[in-house]
Amino acid sequence: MSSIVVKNLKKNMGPEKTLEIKQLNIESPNIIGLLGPNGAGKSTILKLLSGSVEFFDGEIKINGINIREEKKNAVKRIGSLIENPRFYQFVSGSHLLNFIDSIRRGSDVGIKVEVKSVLDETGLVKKGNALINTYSTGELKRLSLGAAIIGNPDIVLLDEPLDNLDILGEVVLDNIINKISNGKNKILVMASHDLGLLEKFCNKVIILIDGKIEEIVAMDHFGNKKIITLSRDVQSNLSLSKEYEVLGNEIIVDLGENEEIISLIRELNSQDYKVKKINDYSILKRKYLDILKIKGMSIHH
Amino acid sequence: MLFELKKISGFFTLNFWNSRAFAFMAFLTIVISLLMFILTFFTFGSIIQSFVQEGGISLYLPEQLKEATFNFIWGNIFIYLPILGAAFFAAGSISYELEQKTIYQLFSLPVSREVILLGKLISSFIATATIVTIYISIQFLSFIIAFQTLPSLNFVTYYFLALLLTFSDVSMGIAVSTFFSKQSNAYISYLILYIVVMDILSLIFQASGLNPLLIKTNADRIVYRVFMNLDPYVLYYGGSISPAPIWQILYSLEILLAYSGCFLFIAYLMFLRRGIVK
Repeated sequence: MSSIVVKNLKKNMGPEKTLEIKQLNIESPNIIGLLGPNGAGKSTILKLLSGSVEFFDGEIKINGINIREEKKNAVKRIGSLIENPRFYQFVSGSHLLNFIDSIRRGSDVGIKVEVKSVLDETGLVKKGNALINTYSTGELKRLSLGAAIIGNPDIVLLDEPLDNLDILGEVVLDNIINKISNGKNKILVMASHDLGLLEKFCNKVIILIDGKIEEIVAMDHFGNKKIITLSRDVQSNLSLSKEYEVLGNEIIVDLGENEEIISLIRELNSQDYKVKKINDYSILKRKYLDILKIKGMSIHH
Repeated sequence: MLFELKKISGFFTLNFWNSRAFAFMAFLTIVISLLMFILTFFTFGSIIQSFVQEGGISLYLPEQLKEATFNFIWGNIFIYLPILGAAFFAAGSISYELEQKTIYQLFSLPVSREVILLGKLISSFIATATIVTIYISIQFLSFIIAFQTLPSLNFVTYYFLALLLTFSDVSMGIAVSTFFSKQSNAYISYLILYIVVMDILSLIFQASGLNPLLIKTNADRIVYRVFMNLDPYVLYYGGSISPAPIWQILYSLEILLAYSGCFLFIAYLMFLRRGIVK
């Protein structure tokens, strides 16, 4: 089983900005999202977990190994993509993957097969032997994803994985995340501004504001829920054939087929409620916007 | 550790060898060498004349002195190559990682920062030493063509000192590189430090009666003083058309090693401290 344990973590992120996490435990299998405004500390957490930032207060344990005391062993099973690197311009993609994998393994055994497999997985077989300075932005991003997953690491850290991705890249990312989610021993932590990506794949999303964990949102039970905005506030005597939750002039209902939606609209109309709009229900978006509003960070219309 | 060091230095050396900077430096070195060949092969007589006429020595110099003069002139120009090579390959090597954000990938690998720094140092040294070797190889061939004989054993000392000088220049480049997160700033600072600051320090030392050989740029010139102990910039130790005595070679060697050690220590401290967040 893979695990990440963070205790009393403190890291200075710049003038009057500190990342502070009292306790965070992640066990495999798990896909965790990090959400927050710019400068909230998402990338800093990933840098700390990946071992690329070594000066911090507190404790980080990867698979039970203290990253400060035994960094080499702690990060051996971690793959990361942080800050969209431009990489080294005058080596080929194959060379780069070969280099990263051999350092992680500590030997050259089985490297060629692994590099070939990752190039295939990222759709870069034809570009594998070309120098990196000939790669397009999308290809470079796919290579970065390849560098993060080469060697089949147990823990993968992805920082804004959707940035600079073309359609092919999005398919590659989907496949990579699906593969990770099928592994019993795998943890994926990804920081993203894309709520759709986080909702689609994550079990939990950590909302960070000003370097602190504001809320951890569980994402596993929202299925086909829709949020229906009505013309007036919902009264207590509203009776529907489906179970619903009320939020002012909105109701949240689990709806499947189109016929169910049409039927529900008829029911609402018959009780003098007009439907203004119907959206997929996003608890994440709601919670996130509520938190931003409370923190005085939302935009006023 | 050796496996990781071999991988890191091999990877970055390959990156240097494939780079435009290396192609440019190699091209420049070949052009300079060809110009030197023309200078010393076709116009050697008049060079020798202008070089020694003040001493009233005729063109019919002993062959040994002609050979020494030939290598001395090549050595005078050589001195600039490791400076430029170290500027291209070493001074930008750490700042490149910060500028291109590749440092996060590098630091997240299961390898210590000391090994990464050492790998960077070795790769920068190999790239610069390759340039140095190209020049000295052409010098060697030119010598054989000009004199129809192999150069004296001093040539081996010359090559060894050239490599030591390259190492100290690369160490200085790496140290400067750890201070900057932009490659261009690191290049410029390295060149200013080398060309301007060191020269001013040399003048201050000479004016104050202190030993100017303690300044790196002066110690560097031991490379060509193994042929003739003349230094147009420093008159501290007089000068002679004989090769520099062994004690001066060893003294300069110690100074270059001491500089390398200091620069590497600074680089180590700076690189270890890098707790990059932004």
